Amino acid sequence: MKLPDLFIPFRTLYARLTLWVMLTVIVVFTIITLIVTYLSSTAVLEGSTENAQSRMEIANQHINSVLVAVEVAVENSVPEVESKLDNPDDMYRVVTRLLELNPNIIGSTVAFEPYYYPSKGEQFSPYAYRDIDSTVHVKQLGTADYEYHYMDWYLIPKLLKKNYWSEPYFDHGGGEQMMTTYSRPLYDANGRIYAVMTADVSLEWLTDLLRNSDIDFNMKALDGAIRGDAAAEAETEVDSAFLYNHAYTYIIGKGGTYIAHPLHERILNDTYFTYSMESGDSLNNLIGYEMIDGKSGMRAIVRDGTKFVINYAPIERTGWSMATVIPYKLIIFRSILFGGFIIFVMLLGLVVLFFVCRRVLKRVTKPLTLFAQSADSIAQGNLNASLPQIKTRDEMKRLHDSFALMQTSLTEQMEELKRVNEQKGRIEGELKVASDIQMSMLPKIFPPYPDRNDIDVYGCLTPAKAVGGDLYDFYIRNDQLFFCIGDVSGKGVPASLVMAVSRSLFRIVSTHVNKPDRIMSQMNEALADQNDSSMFVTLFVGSYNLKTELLEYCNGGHDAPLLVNVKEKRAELLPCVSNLPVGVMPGWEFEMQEAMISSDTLIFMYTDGLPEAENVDQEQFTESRMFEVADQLLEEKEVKPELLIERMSDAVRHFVGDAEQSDDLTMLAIKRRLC
Amino acid sequence: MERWKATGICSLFSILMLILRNYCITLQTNYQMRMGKRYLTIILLMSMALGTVWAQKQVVYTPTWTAQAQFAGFYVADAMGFYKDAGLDVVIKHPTVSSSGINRLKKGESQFVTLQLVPAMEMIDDGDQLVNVMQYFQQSGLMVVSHEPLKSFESLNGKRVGRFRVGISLLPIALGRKLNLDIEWIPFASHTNLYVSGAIDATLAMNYNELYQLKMAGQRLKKDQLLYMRDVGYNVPEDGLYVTKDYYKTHRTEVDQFVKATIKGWEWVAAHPKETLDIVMLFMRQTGIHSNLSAQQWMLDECLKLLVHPKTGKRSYQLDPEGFDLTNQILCEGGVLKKPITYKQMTQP
Repeated sequence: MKLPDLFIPFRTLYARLTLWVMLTVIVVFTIITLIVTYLSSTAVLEGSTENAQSRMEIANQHINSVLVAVEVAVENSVPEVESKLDNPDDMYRVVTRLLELNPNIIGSTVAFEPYYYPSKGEQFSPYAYRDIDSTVHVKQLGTADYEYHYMDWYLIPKLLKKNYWSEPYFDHGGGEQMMTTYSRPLYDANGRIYAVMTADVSLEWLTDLLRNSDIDFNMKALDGAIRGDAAAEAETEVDSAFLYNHAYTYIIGKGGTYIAHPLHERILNDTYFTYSMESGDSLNNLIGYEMIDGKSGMRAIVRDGTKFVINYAPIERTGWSMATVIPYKLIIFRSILFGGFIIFVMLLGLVVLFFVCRRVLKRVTKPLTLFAQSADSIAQGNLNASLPQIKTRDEMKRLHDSFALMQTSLTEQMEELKRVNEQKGRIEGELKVASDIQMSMLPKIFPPYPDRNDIDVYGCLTPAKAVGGDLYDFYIRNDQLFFCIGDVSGKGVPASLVMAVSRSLFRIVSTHVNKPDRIMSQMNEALADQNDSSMFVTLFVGSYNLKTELLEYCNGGHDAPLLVNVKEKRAELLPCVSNLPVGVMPGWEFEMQEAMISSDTLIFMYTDGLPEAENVDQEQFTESRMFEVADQLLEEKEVKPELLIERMSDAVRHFVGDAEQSDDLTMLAIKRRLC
Repeated sequence: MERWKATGICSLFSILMLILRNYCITLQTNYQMRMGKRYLTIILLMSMALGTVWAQKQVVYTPTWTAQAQFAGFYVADAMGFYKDAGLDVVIKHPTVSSSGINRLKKGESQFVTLQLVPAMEMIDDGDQLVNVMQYFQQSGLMVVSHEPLKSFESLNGKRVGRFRVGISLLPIALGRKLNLDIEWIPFASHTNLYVSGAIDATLAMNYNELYQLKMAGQRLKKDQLLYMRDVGYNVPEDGLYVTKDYYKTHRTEVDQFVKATIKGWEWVAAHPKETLDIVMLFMRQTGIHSNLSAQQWMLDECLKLLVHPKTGKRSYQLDPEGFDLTNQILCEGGVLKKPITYKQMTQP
């Protein structure tokens, strides 16, 4: 398939309109989709953040409710301890009672300072604890293997002199579970610490609490993609890949140690920073630092190419911090569903729109095709070609009416044109006749006097229009060559009439008048008489005696003839008195002039059509070019009138080029020959 | 030819004895065959007695702590068969709270133990008969980590400083006394929470272990919070291999073989740190210690630096007299030692 063929469907108006409509709709739909998706994802993100914060708040309250209960219970037991200091073994009953009254507490001790009771030795720490079936047992906690004075739960509150929730730890050899210990230093009357009372709280439920919350969130976020609690729970047990696809919550201690985490092997074994340092991402570390510093926040972070949103907040009383990590894709899961639905509807709409547009526009623009066919028919001359039927009253109807009007108008104009053409043809025919008559007035046979060997005459006239106003004439009477050349003012038919009259006058007058000035005067009188149209003729009349070589001449406002002296190789203008043109002023006295013109000299006469001939640049031929032609001709061995006129004609034709001839051009050359 | 034959017979016998011993142990641990136990034990003892000349000799080595990269040279020597090649059947027995390395040494349960130089000198001063047969850590990894910036050791004056309950802490304690500093030393079982909670102003730490733990606990430690003892003129040798004088006298060959194989182990560690980590992790898993590759990587890197003598840049595996004298001087001036211990006293029976 050639490339242009691919565009054929778009060469039709309806196809292009459909295309543009579709493109516009696609752009608008895309923008709408993007905006809606953005707004919805923002809303979902906010909702998710609020949800995470809310879940953390609930967990926080839950944890706090347990911790506060433990703190209160311990505080309430302190007076009992103080009251029984004289009887150290009673401490076993105190801690046992504490456990019996508080199901949250799984172990409690009153750990005394070294040798507080000399009889009890360095370590004396009555301890009550629950076994697996919750039965309370007692024992002395301090042993050679368990020197409690060096344990965090004893040492830190003692040094800090304040109540202390220990970092969670795994109780080896005791409850075999993860726990935290609340330590409450006991002071004597002097303000010195003599013992630390503790209560152990299991944290096994903490992981379950968070996990259930996570499962609930994931099920909602994935819109039931996880089927059932059991399946959801199984998901959380898999491996670290779970962390990249589901939301999860974890808690870290003040030292970054994991206290709760979906991956159980991390709990109490690793710290947050073990992983954040490995990642090499400073933002990971920053989150950890802010968490252990007890700050709240929300951060977006990319881990292994997966974007997460992390919300974190401190857990009161303990210095621990809880974080909810939600994969961004989980947050925008619903947005994606929503966006996908919008896109689906949009695509469906586009398909429907495409077909509707195509059909409707095709139907609407179909008359245009028919109009085009009608226009083709009209162009081929069938002005009565039928037009498509338009039933609507819209632009198409208007087009139909315009077409109909155009048909009527065209028919009328064609008729008018035909009539005008006929008239024009007739006029042109008449003009042709007139032109022929005019040309027939001029000497047109050269050489005109084949039987004479003393004179050589050549002339030509090229009218600018069908008929012209230039004239020339010559004849011999009594060895006297009478000649004239003239240019009637104006052009066309009026000028041609005056030309005809002038030529006739010259013939008539010169037959009985010899002197050129007389001939000129009489012609002037005749032409000036009742010259309502104010037309005149520039005229040069000469009488050349073929025997004496005397030229008598009279110039009536005409250009001076050019004398080309072959012998002397010289060209010059014949001195002329510039009289008025003939027909301008009756009674004008024309002055005659004389000159001896030898057989070496050629008389060249012309009308203003020669020097004023214009080329396309509207430059004139000018006399200087005439002289150039004449000078070139002087190089020839023999210069005849015909050769001169021919060269002059070539020169002016070459000069004018494609420009339209603006004026009649007439040339006449005379040269006497030696017998 | 005769010699080769004898060697082959010895080897076969040794293998037989080993199989028999392992079989007996299996039966014992399964608490089976109560009737046959005595019989088997007699056979075992007889076999051991008969096989003393040819079979591999079993010795027990105990490091100062649970399995970790600090003892990588020993694990590698064991795992790569360097001990076996040396004709030794080495059992690596890690210490417990109630059974420390030194206790095991005294009771004869372990023949070889790792001890730091400072506590070893204190023990010799107290009359224990110990011999340093190999000194592999030529430099000190001991340091002080403080909440406040430290200019010198004297900056600890008036502070509450956490310390290890035993061992290397004697050096800074002696130094504090020598410099007449008022330092409240707080012995701890674990330093991290104590330091993080702010209960102490500073803590002693080993750069290959406790420092890393503090970093992993989110402590943003700046340079001026860290004071390396080796940088302030107290670069004393640390981990070395010790036996009792009696054992040294009676088992000179085993000692020499053990030391050579261990040196070979450490050299292999230096040449193959990556593979060493795998071996260390394996030992950790076998002994039920939670393994953390990053932590062990850190520890191994730092320990490898401690193997090198600060001046010669070589791993000599011998106690440097200069470093020994420095330790002697600080401990004597700080009142830890009643009188100076001679180099000969330390290294020769």
